[in-house]
Amino acid sequence: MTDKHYLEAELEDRLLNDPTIWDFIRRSSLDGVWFWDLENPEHEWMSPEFWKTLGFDPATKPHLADAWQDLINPKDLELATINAERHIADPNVPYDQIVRYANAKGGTTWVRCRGLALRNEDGKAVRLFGAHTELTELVEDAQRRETDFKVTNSRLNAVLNAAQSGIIGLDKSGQIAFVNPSARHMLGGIQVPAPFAWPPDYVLLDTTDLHPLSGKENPLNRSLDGDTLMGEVFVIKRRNGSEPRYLRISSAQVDVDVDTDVGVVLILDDISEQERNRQQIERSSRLDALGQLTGGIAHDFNNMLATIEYAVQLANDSDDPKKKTEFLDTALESVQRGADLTRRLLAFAKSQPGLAKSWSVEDIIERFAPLIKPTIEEHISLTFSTETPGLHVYCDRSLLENALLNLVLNSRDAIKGAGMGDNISISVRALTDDAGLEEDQADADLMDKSKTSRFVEFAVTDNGPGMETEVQTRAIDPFFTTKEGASGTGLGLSMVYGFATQSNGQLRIYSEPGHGTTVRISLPRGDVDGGRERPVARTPVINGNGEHVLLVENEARLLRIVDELLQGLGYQVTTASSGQDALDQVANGLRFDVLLTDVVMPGKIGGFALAKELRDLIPDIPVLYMSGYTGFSEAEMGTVVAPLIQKPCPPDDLGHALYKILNEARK
Amino acid sequence: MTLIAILEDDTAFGSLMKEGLEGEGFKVELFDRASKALSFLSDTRVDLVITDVFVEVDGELVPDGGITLIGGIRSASRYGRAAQNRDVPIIAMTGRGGLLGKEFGLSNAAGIGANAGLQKPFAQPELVQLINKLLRRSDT
Repeated sequence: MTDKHYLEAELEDRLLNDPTIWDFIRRSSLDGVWFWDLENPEHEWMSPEFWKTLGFDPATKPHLADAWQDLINPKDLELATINAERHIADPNVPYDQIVRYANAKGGTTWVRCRGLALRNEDGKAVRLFGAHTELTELVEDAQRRETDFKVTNSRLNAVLNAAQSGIIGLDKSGQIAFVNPSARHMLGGIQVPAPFAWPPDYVLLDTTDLHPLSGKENPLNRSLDGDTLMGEVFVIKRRNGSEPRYLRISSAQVDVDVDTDVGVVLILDDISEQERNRQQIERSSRLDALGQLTGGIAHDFNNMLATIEYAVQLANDSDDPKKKTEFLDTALESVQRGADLTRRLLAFAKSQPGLAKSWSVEDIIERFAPLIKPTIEEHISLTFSTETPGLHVYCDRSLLENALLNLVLNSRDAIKGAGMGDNISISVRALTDDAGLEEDQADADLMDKSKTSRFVEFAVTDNGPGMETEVQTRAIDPFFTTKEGASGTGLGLSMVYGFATQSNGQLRIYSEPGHGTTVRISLPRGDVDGGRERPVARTPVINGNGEHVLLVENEARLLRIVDELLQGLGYQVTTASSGQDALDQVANGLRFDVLLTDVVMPGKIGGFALAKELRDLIPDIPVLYMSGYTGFSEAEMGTVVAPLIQKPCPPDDLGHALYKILNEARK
Repeated sequence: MTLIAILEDDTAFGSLMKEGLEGEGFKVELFDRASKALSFLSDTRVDLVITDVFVEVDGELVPDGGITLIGGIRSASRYGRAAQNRDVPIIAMTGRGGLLGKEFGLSNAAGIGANAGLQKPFAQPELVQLINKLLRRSDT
């Protein structure tokens, strides 16, 4: 024990002798004091300051315990009573609680109430002395803060939940501290509660050469290192699967003095669609540039011809031999310029303008087959098939042959390059424009909806390695090639594209990585007189009779189109966006008459596996496969070998195919 | 002597026309840009103008060709010296098919303010015949 400070000793002494000190404590530094007779507990003295704190006139309040017990919140009274009993029983338990009083204005006054039991010689508590401290302002302030916090929090949550953008908070170690539903969706629907590490199978790639960004290049690390990302675009790809998406990422640093958990907030926008549109526009403008080039070339040629014609004519008319030679030299120079230009053109594109005419498809195949066979290795089989005999196609024959040659050689190179696949097939079928082929708006007959243009489609299919989506979208870009070294100029497919569009047809590419590729060129039908076939009356389609089709297709746009088509044909349709989705619906009691399913879909259950699972559940259920890539073998189909219709499928073909398999099932 | 101004960016062809027409007794001034021709025409009266429609620099079309020239001639102020060429006969020529129709005929030529059109290639007799026809018409 140290000696008392002289001031403490003096204060204690003064306290005993100087009443103004007690007066100050009671009146001016506390909000009320009270003194309770525990032997006659109805009696309790309360200081006037207590009543003033509650807004009452002290003169109206008797010195009875009832006086305050009538005003205190009943729950708080319970607490205060329990605390008092405990303190009376054991001096080491403090009597201390914050309680609510109903004040004179009808509101609530918050008071902290502390007390001390005074005991007699036997240790029995005979009095309870206590003091009040008013806390209303502090408590209300805290309550307001809590409400504000809840409101802010709920608004923030609403924003996070509603945002189409993915929003991710990263802590200093790079862990995801919070994440909104959109961002979870971008990460493959990851469900683990935050915090968690960035899922390692999602890699961010550079958009130009698609190399994975790691270490200091990785945008997450860059933002953690203090870089602010301002809408930079990256490719996000799941290892071994899923098509790559384009993400625009922005970042903001979090104020570290305020938030010690989260270092950076990232905003992620999936701009795949815009990006693909942009690439599409870029591509068509590049292809347009080819067209403009042709116009420019005509101009250059005509200028040269003008010089030649003009000079030769002047030479002809001139009597002066020296002048004659001069004029002819000028003409020769122009011939030389023309030859130079031709050479450059030929280097650019090995094609020549041709003349469209109607040709027999069989004749074309007959002549083309022996030409192409020698260029294909012996272990690769090359097959030709024509669904409809007697078809005519309206185009430039040599350009068509050139296009087919290009496609076959592409397939051969793909097969050789990957050491995968052994078959290339060329098949021809008849198509109507309902399959989404462009109409020639200028031709009035085509505007007549009762009539339709007919097309011939040449499909070149291989069972090689197939193309990744990114390669597919760029496949027809001029100068884009995946062929290594000097073997490719990158002009092959773009020339085929140019040929197809200039011939009023279309080029479509369907590729399934791991299965193969189908490239389809549709061209106008020709007539027997050598011209382009006029639009013909639509053939009536075979309608369904309310039969229930289970339609499975992962591509939303196509799902919608085929759904509408089927409903238009009189079928009842239930759609599923994946094999698993279809199985779930069937497990939940869905009944249907026929399965129409895409073949290659993301997820574990593809079209073939789905057909097998459903056949196990419902033996004999009719199955119809649909695919843009049509090179599947029966072995690949597995247990359920069923007809495969080709995308795009015109309504009459689809109607016919469904009618046929439903009819067979009825037998 | 009949004075003809020619705008032609293909210098080989332009020189050839100049030499050929001078052999026919015309006086010829040759330009390769509309701006140069217009500056000449602002203080010299000519009897006829022959102009290429499109002028290219390094393979790119530039706004300094026949359309600029014809526009400049036809819109000259009536009160300046250039007004003397406002109604001069103009022959427009082009090697470019397609952009102004397959045949660069009179209707297309008139559309850009010329009196006649010529599709390249052509030879001198065709040109001289056209020149004489236009000069006779403007005399009467």
